[in-house]
Amino acid sequence: MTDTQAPPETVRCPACRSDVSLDLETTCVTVCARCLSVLERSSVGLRAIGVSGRLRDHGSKLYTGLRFRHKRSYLNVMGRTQPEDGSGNRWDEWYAEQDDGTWAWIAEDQGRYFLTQPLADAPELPPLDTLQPGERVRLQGVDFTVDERDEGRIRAAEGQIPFFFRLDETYTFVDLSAPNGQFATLDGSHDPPRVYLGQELSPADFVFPHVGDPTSRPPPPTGEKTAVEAKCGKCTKSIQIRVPAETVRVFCPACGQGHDVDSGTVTLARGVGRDPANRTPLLAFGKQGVLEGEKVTVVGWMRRSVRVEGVVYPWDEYLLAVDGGGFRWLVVNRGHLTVGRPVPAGEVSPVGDEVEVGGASFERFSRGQPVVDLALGEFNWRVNPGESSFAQDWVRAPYAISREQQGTEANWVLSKHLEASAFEAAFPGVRAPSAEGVGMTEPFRHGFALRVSLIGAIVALGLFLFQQVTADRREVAQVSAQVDSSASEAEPLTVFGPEFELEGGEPITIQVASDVTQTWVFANGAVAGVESGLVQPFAIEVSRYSGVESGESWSEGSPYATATFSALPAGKYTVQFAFMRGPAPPMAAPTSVTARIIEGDPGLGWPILVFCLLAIAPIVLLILRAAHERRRFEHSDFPKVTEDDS
Amino acid sequence: MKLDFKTRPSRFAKFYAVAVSVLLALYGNAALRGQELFDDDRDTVPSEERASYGRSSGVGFIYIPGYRGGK
Repeated sequence: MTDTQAPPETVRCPACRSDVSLDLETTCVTVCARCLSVLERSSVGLRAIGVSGRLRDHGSKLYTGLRFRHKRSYLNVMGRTQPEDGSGNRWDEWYAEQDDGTWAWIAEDQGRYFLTQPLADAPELPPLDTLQPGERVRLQGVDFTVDERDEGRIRAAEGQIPFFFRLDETYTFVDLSAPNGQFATLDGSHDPPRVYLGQELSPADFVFPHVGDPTSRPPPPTGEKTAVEAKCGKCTKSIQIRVPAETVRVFCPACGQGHDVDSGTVTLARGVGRDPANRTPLLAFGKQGVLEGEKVTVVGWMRRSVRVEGVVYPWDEYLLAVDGGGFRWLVVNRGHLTVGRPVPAGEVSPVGDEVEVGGASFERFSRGQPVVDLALGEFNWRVNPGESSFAQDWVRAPYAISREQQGTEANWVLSKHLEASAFEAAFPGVRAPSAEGVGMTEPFRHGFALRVSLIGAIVALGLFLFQQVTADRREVAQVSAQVDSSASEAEPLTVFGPEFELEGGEPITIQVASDVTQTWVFANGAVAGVESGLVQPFAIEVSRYSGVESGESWSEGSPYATATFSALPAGKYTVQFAFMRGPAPPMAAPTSVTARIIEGDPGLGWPILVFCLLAIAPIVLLILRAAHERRRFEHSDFPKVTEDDS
Repeated sequence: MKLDFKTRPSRFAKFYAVAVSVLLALYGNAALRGQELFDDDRDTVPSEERASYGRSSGVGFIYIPGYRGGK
């Protein structure tokens, strides 16, 4: 314990006379560890206000008496309560004393931890009963989104608790969240409601004491986490409850009869359940696997469906209990697999028809009222076959974000596509179902190739620009001629150029410019090494025609043409041209032709080839991707309609 | 919250990445060496043949394949 802590005060339980602790002056309630009497501190000593129910063991890393470090401060876990919401879900509220003598609240629900502290100057709040899921509430300059409004009641408690409460007294609470794990609770058990602000923690944020640390008590033995076996109240067959601390409803796998579960105690829920009619799940209850690094156990199976224009679209949802707390959903829809996990509403921002999660925008995909057709196995909420909810999906492959609202509770689930091979690796011995069409979250498989194309094109463009910018173009020779119609193919006009020097290592370009009109000029020729005898032939045609047809003028061809060839070795060269001119009107003037020999002017052959080849795959892939997206949205409530379809 | 949108490259994508790399390497090599994509066939004329064609006027010998005469 810390230096700031008051000396422990030991008093006797008024009910059983056992010693009970009141370590802190700020402790309001303490619970007798022997008789579970809930003892309230008053001016006349301790007063028993009831007897705590049995605590459910959720397999938490925390326990009363634990001393652990979070960031730079140490916390001593002094006590906890276990509230239960209207659906029968229970969670832990741990109360820890910090080094400075203040209290911290650590809510723990399905493997998630939320560290909060009461806000001293709470803002004026709207009545809690009016807040709806998705509504925004501004707290300490941050916009929080309402995740859930529900009623809670404290069913069990232990240790020392820093506020007064009544067991089983119902109060309203509102859970809110904001981006980056910010979390808030509005607690209606106080008047005015208290505001608790804080942060979701990762289990990695906790630093637990070394074994044998004398300042921390050893963890208590756990017992309730092991599976419980019961008999079906209808067909008397065996029912396994694998997560008794979380399960509030279980359905007999044989006859489908529903049962309520409270701390592992099973009672028949009359009128709840449907006959499975020999339908068997893809994954057997109790089947274990490792999904995305988490060890999971299959505990529940639901078949749900939506009806659109008379057509029923069913899918299967498997509830997977994560070893260490929490649940995941494995959804099988038309053979496509996704794994979902809950996300706080504060992490999701609506932007028009789309939503943003983690900086990525998601496109709307579907909305409807799915119905639970069948439920078998166990669930951590009171699922009831036949019940419906309002659900919306947004997609950005390989993810989908779903919002499902039932009453005053809205849950967001982030799902990710699961490859069939990953599924079979996660659950050895189970064959993945064959998939039909394109799944909602199925990614386009050649996205990587598209990125490669883009990177390749950028590199090629960079190379091309570098080549053009750094090119040292030098005119090494020039030849001019007047070509008339006597220069024919049989007897061309031969012109010899001057001797010139080439530095070598750079391409050679012959540029021909002419005032040719209504005919062509052909320049056949060669650059030849004076000493080496190396001959590089070339052939260039220049032509230009124009006229008027149906009142509209036209022209084709160009007075310029070039030919480029690879570098020649350094040395002395000369050039010869054999010019020919095509048919021309009688008395036509000779055509002026000027040819320039340029060293160091890179040609366009390679860039054109590279860009053409790099363009083929992206064009094909973009067409395939468009088809993929179109097929994905075939099963959407917002299909992608092209102009051809409309 | 960070989302990972990367997907595993398909077999085609791996092959394509190699092909693009080879293409860029060829282009880069050609650019460095001043090579062009399409060259007409080069030829070397033996010294005894050089005198047979074209002219000898102090500026060198010229040989134009397929052309044996001129003005």
